Amino acid sequence: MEKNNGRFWFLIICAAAVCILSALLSFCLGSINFTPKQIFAALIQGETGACVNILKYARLPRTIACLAAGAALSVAGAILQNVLSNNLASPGVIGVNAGAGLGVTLCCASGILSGWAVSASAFAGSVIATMIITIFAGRTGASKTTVVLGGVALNSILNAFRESVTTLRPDSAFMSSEFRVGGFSSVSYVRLLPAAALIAISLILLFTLFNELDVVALGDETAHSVGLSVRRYRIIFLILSASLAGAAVSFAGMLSFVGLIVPHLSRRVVGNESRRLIPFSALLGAGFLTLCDLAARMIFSPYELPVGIIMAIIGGPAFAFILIRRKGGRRHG
Amino acid sequence: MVEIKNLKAGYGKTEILSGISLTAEFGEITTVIGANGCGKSTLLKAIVGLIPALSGSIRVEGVLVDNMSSIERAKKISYLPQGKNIPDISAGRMVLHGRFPYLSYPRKYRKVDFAVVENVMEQMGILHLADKPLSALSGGMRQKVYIAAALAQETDVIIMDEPTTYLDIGRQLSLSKTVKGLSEKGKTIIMVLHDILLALKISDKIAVMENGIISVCGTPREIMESGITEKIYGVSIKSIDDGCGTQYYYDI
Repeated sequence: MEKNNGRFWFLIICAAAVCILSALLSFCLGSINFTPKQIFAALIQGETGACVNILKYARLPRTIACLAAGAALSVAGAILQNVLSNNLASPGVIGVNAGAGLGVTLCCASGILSGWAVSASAFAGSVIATMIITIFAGRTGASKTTVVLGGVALNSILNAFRESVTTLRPDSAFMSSEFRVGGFSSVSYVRLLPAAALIAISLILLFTLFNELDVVALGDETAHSVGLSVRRYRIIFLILSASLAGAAVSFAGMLSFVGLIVPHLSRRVVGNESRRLIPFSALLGAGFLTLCDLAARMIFSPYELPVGIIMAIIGGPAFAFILIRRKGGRRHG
Repeated sequence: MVEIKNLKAGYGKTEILSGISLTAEFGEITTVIGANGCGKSTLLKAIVGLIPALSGSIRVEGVLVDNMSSIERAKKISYLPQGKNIPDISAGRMVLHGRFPYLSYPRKYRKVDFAVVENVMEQMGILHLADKPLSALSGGMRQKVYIAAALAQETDVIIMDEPTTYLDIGRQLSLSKTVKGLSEKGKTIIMVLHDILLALKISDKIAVMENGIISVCGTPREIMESGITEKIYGVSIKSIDDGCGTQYYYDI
């Protein structure tokens, strides 16, 4: 048993290497390029100056934001897919991101702009959206298609509310277009740190619950048979995924693709077992989003595209390609 | 031993079981048969606590199931539902999840759990499939994996809902031998079967359900002689002793 451990660790090391490399590139490249030596001098040896400020207050928070949002949204997608037994579920598809977006917009419309308040309202919005979709799934017998269709409907409703608030209170649209597609150009420590703390706590908690997540995915009756309180753990996992997605949306905007495409890709590479899927999804998502953000900054430099646009341009065709290739040998359907 | 006394249960306000009394003895196979919709699966679900009892009692080894925590219950009763998800995990991992009730937070499988899993998979003749994805196995092999998971759970009572569904005749017979082997090792088996002849062949006791009650309960011979199958299914059953045991057949 457990023969594939060597392969898994090799893949994890590769994904970690991609993450580190993408973080380094994100530090080094931009409107001003830095060498690794300059970065070391600025961040570790405490040098001062304009360039150091760029590194400390623009590149560093931005890189942390990319890594944290990529990991959080990918893991939130992987959790939702397992808990709802539906590979089409992701925070962007079933309305969790839209809930967080509405929460943030309402928070801004009420004039509260502190980092903690924005994070908390995103979290509350995503939890409420998750609860609505869970109740809907329960009432409709949790048919796979119905849950996704319900999520799509919820997405539209929440986005319509958010647009209405933005129209009536234009001040609340402080990050309007970038927020809608997702981007990191306006990331600051004030907004990033509370959300990053929430993401870290959620990930640490989740890392102690891998077996529970796998047992929930066995189906209600089998999980009940081995003594797992299915309802309690389903709620715990939905809250964890909502906190991950909500925290990410609070500073990154409504990035949608990463939560769908990365868990799919990860499943194909390391399989469905959570102890492998979740860490690999986290690393792959973090690296992928950081690279996409780098591309968003570099392609039309000095102009910058929101990363959500780049992800849709790269991720959309890549996802379609994966689906077409999978057609012959579907196993995850 | 499982003792069910005057059990009433159902879904919401709809009562499906209207006063069931049944005793399943230690080391015996008790099979529940009956027409579609008579409440067989509901009875199994009530025994494992998936649906709450409206009244009456279910005791396992003298202890009321209602008074057990979910972990205590999982150490006493394992349940193989009829329509199972086919999770995309390896067969070995599926069996390992049978050890779940023995872990405390943070639940990490221990060496002893891996040893138990290896042992039961070897017993079931499926150790070579440990690394294979469950979804890539045949229906018969998958059923053996689920039974191995129930064995890894080390419960005295094993409850199976239609374990032979979707299996060809060869795999049905192989599975029935496995079930017989489990009862000989002292497990209390309660299962629902649609195949009446198979039920008569392998069971120690058969309970026939009609409209939420047990109308007849007895040994396979008593069931055959009662003529209840003619009443429920419209076919009578006869038997012949061929020297290797009693063989049952439909008298058409």
